Amino acid sequence: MVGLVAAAAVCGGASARAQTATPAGPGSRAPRLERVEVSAGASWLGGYELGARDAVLTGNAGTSGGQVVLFRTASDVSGSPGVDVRVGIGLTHGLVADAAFAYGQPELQTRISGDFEQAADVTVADTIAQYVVEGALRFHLTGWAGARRAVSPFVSGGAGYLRQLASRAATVENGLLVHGGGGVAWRLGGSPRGTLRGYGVRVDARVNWRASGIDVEDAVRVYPSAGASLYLRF
Amino acid sequence: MIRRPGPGLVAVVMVAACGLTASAYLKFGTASGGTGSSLRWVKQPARYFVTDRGVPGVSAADLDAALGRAFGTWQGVSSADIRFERVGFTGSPPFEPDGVSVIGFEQRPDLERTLGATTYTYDTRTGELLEADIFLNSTFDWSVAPAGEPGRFDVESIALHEIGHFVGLGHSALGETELRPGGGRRVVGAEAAMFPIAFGAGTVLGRTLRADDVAGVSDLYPSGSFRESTGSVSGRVTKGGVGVFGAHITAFNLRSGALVGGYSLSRDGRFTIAGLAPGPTVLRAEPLDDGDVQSFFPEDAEVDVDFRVSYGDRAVVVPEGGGVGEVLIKVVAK
Repeated sequence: MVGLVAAAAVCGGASARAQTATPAGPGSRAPRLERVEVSAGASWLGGYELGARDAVLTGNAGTSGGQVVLFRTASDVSGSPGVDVRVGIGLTHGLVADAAFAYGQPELQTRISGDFEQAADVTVADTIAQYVVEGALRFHLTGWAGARRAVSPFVSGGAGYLRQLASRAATVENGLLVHGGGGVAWRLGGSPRGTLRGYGVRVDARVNWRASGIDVEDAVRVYPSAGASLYLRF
Repeated sequence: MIRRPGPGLVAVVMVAACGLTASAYLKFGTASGGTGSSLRWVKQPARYFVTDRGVPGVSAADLDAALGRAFGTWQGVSSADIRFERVGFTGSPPFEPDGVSVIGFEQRPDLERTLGATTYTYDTRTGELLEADIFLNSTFDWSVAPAGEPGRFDVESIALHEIGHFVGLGHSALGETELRPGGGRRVVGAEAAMFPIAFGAGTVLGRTLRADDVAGVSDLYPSGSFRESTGSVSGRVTKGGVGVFGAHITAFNLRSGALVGGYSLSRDGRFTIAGLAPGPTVLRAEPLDDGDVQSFFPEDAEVDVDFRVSYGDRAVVVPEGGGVGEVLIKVVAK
């Protein structure tokens, strides 16, 4: 991930040199393409099932199946709101490298049922503080830097480092997050010759693949997410 | 510590073990000068002799071999550092305070529901075990057949349980029983070799250590990485806002399916269960009503068994090398 961000920054630098080589007319300040984008927004992280597991005792002779179920559990990670901040650097006319930081607070929820001694069914939960640092590539289908269209659809994909704190921060687990998706950026305004060359709103939707982190088994979890953010381009 | 067979009600008899106190798992302990110490072997390997007498169907050599397998099972726990050494056969019976640990058969028809028992000699100041004897009651029919024999109790299974006491472990409550029409209890299911009631004659289910046994022996004799690779959960069991003493708490690891038990061991209902594998875990509290309370605690302990099974107020994720605290389990009277 660090490598991806670093590579993106280097590429961005190369792109900048090419852009500044564009000759400007005498006595005029030529319009320049946007190169850096900063955004902040809110998102919704979808929930996902973790699976079921029974607490079992070794059954005595004659016990059906050789096991006695003490109680049953089924766990999931709940959907939750989140926030994120993002910095993008234009690499080409349509390609942007993003580095982002995101925070969410889903819950690990476990439903307990079927107690051997008829205890009432309950759901217990533990709040997870979830941080993600990621790098991504975003490709605007109608161009990014200097695009004058009000609407600019894009596709994106990337990977990130996941850090989850549970049980009131007593437990820390790390994981890997890979995502792919797309969205639309609405350009609301900006001045080609000013410092703020563009601003607008971006909405996107993703599919996320999460490996490691807090889980009940070694499995890759897939869940959706969607977000909306306000961007500023310089 | 005396173990009784399945048909019997389990009443633990402390032999030569005055001043013992119970702590989590349970481990046996001794209190001296206001501080408690677990009973454990300091000098290792712990050496033992085998009596040179067999019983019908089980020769002395058979007994010796079965004991060797059972000791090997405990010694094979990778997260524990406990070693044993078989010295040889002896003509001495067990339960003689002779400074050496002896294991063998003995005819005890007066203990009609006791399959085996373990006694200790230990330093009351430090808890260091000096001698531990185990007897298997030859009033019963015994077997060492690989798959067990109908109507006969498996030497290796019962020895595995008694050797758990030999190393300093008390009874686990990880099991469910049902009352027999004619009296006594039958095990419906258990998940600890240290459950006080045997599965019954004819089975070899008791030859395997479970997660609870492994956690217990590893807590007593931790190997180098045990503390760093496991975690703990602590909290309180309360009823009407008042602490519950003697509640059995089960920690269920949602990742591995392992069940490890502990007890609330103070008047304010506090408990700590250590040696837990990391990962999401739920906690369940139940009363000690699957056997005699005296199977677990001294007779004068005021154990509360008047409450319904309940679960912790939250799920927890047990950390590696750390602990999660302040889990509250509220129970209500039956």
